[in-house]
Amino acid sequence: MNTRSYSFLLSLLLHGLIISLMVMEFSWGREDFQKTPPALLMIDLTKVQIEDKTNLPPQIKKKAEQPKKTVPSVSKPKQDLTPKVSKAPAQKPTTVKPKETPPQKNAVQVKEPKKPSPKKTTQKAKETPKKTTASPKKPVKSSQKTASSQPTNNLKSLLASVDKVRKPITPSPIQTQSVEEPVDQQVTEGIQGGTGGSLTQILSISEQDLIANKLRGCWNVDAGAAGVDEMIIEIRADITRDGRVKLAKILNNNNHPSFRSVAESARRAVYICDNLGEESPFKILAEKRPENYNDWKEIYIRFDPATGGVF
Amino acid sequence: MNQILKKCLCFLICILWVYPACSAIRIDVTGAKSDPLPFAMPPLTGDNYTTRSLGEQMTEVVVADLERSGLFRYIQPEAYIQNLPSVDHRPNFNDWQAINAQALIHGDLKSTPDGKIKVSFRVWDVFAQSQMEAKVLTTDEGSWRKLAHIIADTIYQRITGETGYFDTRIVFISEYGNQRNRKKRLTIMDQDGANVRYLTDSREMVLTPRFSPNMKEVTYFSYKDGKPKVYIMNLETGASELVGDFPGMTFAPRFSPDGKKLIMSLSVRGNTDIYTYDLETKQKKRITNHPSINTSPGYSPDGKKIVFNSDRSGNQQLYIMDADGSNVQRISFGEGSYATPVWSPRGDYIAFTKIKNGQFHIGLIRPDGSGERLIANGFLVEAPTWAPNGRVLMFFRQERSTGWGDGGTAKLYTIDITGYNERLIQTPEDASDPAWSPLLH
Repeated sequence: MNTRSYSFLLSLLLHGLIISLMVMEFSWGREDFQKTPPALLMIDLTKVQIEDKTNLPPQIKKKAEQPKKTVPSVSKPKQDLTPKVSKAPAQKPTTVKPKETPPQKNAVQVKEPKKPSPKKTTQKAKETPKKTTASPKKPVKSSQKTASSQPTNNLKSLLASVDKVRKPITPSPIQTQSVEEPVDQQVTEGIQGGTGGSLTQILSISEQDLIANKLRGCWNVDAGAAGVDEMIIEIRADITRDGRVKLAKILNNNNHPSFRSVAESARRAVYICDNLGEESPFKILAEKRPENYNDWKEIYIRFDPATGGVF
Repeated sequence: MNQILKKCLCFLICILWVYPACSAIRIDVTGAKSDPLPFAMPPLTGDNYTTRSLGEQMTEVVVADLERSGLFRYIQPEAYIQNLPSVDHRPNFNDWQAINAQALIHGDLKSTPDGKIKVSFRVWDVFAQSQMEAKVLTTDEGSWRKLAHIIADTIYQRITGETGYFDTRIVFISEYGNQRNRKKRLTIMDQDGANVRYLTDSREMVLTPRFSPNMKEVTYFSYKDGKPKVYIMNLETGASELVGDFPGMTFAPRFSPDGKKLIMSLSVRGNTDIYTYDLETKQKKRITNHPSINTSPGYSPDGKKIVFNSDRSGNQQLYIMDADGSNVQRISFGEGSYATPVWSPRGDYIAFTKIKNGQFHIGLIRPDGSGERLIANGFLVEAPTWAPNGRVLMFFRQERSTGWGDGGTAKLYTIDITGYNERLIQTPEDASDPAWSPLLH
């Protein structure tokens, strides 16, 4: 009996582990920034599907956001090649500031729903932002009312979310979100009425591709530079709330004499794309994901001239 | 039991901790375009009429150098919005971004009390809004062209990451007259075609000149005194000297990378093999010993390997061996025959001439025999020579001549190793057999 119960418990544990892994989509361990193969992005696609519909309560979201602050510390050892880069940020804001002013309307809209109660922002409050601005106290009351019917809603939405966790495993529901149809506009049925969007995947694959393609068009590389086919440049772009590049920093280093110029060309590509005005790839983030600013205020870009070829 | 539980819990906690860290946006940019980099360069300003005029001329030379490389595109001054007051003035980057200048070069020229000229210039990354380079160079007024080439080299090196090749010279054969009675002279000039100087007169037939690594000598093949032999000319004195006392015909000479030896072919009684000749001890050493024709030897940049061509397999193919002649390996296996291999100063490629189906080609192959590709062709294209940075090749192209010996013009061309940007180099007469010097400064 003892051995039976022991094996039963062990199998229960292992099953639990497998289920937990399925929930986490087998994405254990942190993806290596340098060695992330493009094919892995397909797995990310399912993440979009799952997270869009399984809305986590803001409390968990807050907790989950905290570890993100550790990301820059991971990349800290990788320092910029040129000390001169530090000169750029000091003067950049002066030129960027005037251009930041027009899109501030979006930023205001994002902040307003948070004011009443960050924990209990309902979808209704989002859909009718005018009402919230006119009388900020009302949404608080309505959310208090909805709180009374939470237990039953919780169960239903929990079951619904479990169903939706299963769904992406089958191939049929995998649908890429087109750029024209931003995720933040989709109405979701989340626990406690979350704000929609994703905790882990902010952009759809097609949006990522759009940004990558635009950056590709901005990137001018000397095709004959020695060793260019073996170089990979990692850049961190700090983005302002209105989708302008505040600073682009080269993160990795390489002893090859051509590396600095190739890395600088990649950094230049970020700035050139930023200068495209409404065509800037970073504007997509400000336009489509204004509420997720904390998620895209830092973007990690990996430039690889060899894989796609120099055209 | 408890241990298993603890492990599982630890594992789950680890996943929960690491998972959100994956959520930062990551974009993979694969591939890029390869267009010339647009740059702006207002003419170097001067403090008096002489320096202003010289500044304009120097700017023209710098711009021409950079544009000829194919990696830069000059934005004409008419498009400039900002009129930069002085070299110490920080540019208004928005004005330069508006005309899509990715690099801005701004400098001035001043005359010093001791009669020299002093150039101060800065290279700006317009979009990153940072300074890339700042230098002050001083020289005699007469050397302004050289100074302009050095400025171009500095800009090229800072932006592309590779050493420049503008402050260099070309030694080549000037040709004129009917093809049946062609006159040939050993000639030297700057890489942009300026400062042409003839080193020999047209009485002797000269071929295949090559620079020594220190630029003080040129070795060449000549029919001086009726016998085909290899000579060395001192460029400072103009005196030439016969190399060694070989029994047969010596040809295809090249210096070793340390400049202490010559490697060449020696043909005795119909058998051609490769020899080295020590310029200090005057000793010759046989490197190949094979009944076939072994010729066109050249060292690798580190001097440890030799590339040559041989018809030991039935037709001319490329081979590599150790500097002592051991460990011979064939590297070319394509159709046609291969000739005049030259190892790149960068070490990554060997340039060659290929004759296939009656057409001549200039091609590149990696030292391990992989990646063969042809980058230029013509009725007769031959004698590839490397720019000191291993990025650009020069060769000559000769057109077909008539049965009467008319036509058959020969001109020098440069081409990027990518196969793009083929450019004609202007020479006063027809030109062939070019050899590129090392960087002078």
